[in-house]
Amino acid sequence: MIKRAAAILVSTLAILAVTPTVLAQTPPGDPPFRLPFAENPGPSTWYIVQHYGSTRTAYVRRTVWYGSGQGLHFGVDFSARCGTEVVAIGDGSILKVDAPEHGAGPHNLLILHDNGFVSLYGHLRDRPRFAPFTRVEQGQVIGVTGDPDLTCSSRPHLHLEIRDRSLFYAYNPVDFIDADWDSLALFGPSSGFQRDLSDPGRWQTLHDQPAVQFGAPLLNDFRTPWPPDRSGW
Amino acid sequence: MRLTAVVLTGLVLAACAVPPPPPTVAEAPSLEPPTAEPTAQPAAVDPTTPPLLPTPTPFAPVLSQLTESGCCTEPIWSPDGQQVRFIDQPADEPVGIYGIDIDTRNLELVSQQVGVLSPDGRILAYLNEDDETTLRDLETDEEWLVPSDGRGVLFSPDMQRIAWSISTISGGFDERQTIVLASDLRGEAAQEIIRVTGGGLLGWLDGSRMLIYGQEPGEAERSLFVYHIEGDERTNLVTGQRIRAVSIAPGGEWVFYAIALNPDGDTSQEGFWVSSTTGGPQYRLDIVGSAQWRDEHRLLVIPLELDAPSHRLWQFNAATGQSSILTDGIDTPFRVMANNWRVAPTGDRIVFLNAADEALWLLELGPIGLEEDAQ
Ligand SMILES: [Zn+2]
Repeated sequence: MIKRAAAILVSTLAILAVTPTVLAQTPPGDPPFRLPFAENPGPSTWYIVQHYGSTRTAYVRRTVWYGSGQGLHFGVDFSARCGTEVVAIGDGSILKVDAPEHGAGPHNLLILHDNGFVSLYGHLRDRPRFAPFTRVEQGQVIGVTGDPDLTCSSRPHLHLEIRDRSLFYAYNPVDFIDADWDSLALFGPSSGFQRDLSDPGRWQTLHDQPAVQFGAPLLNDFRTPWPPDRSGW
Repeated sequence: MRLTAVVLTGLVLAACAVPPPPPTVAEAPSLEPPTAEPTAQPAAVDPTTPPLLPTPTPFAPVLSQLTESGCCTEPIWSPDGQQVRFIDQPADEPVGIYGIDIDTRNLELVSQQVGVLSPDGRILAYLNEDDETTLRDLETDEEWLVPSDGRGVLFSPDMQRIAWSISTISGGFDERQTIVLASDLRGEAAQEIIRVTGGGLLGWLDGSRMLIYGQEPGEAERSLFVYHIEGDERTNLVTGQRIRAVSIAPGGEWVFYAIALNPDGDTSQEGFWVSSTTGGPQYRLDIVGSAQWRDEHRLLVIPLELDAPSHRLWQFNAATGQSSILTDGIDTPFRVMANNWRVAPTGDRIVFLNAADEALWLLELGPIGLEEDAQ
């Protein structure tokens, strides 16, 4: 354990010394995973409410909600009523149930997939009834959605992450999930990506988003942000 | 810093150069016929509203590339519909708001100060270095501060007033309180307009009416309502439903909104709606997607049709209840990237970020109303 932590620390320091951002990771071949709901999106089922990456929402809360993930939104948020069934995005085995160190309460679940990547399902309403190492199949119901504010009337949603096996890195789910992301965005988030006016074209599309290294410095503490770090802009 | 618009005709731009002659759509994919046609179901009007007819429009929509790939995102239009504007930093040029002329393809620096432009394009609102909300007249370079304490402001369509909101930032999103304030354009005569919980100001309908979502003190449920700031009167449009994706038609006679994911599980009203703000009809649209207003009463929708090879444009006329298909996805295939599209103020075209090449493209729709006359 100490050896592994030391190895991660060394690799972390090496990465920090070389480049401030982690290279985005994409799986070989076609995106291996599916969307985490059985039903189609819509006003009575689910819709994307926050994309992955340098979102406006994440920027506003970069030191509060997202400080551990370099200030970025390190997953995709799917708005859904409390109790909506969530399905596994790929075959794999249960890695962790209710791991508070990864946030996204009140309950979460992590699946280690056969390709070595991990999916994290956050803000689940109930503790999933799985023991670690249980096999799950793609499309199998693994839990139901909840609300991080515990009311089911504030912001019930599923927070879905794709991580590497070490769990130290989160990647853009757009590269991993086989979905029509541009069409999903049509009934999607109301705000877009945050800009740094010193490099106004960076991180402005669904695909062009950096990977996140948990515990590393903020990537979006921009000196010339647009919109400004005040409400109503 | 020079404040007025600087014309940069003939500028050589590496990052956002004028593209070669507009190509036709590359690689038109083999297309399946469109899926089921959306229809409008009037909720409180003449039930004889004609159904959607997939008649070919007399004007064939035309696609043309406007910028190079990777140039820019989140385009907006100049008020006259002649320029597409965006934040950019062309090679060897400063960052700023640039505009490209849709006919000449000349690029112009509209404002080196990045901010929010007023509906008439004349006033720029921005946050100054002291975190004060500042308005600048782009024609005279005159600047003045407004008392919104650094918050963004919404200009009334008649350019007589501005409004802003102060919200609490803790607690559940359905329990947060918002105070809506307004002043004249100079920031004078500022006054509180209304307080609501679980919502806020959605926009100006006209010079004296606001569209607001939330519940006032003492109310049990949230409503979407019209607020008359000069008479302190309100008119409810919807009550007890969770609202999102609101869009106000030019002129303020019609609003579009979605009712989605009511926490109590009541799905009976969920879907897309168009509602009169003056006591006229409310229509339920049998469609889901991205909606923007084309003119005072025509709504354009790009339906959410997962995995369809092309996006399509659908139109609903709230004045007549008539629906039309403007592009069918076969003759005019296009895909909008991440909901980046805007209807021109002239209503005869849209600009969109093309998913295939990440360039801005124009889709010319032809004269408004032509497709309806053909039905
Ligand atoms: Zn999230």
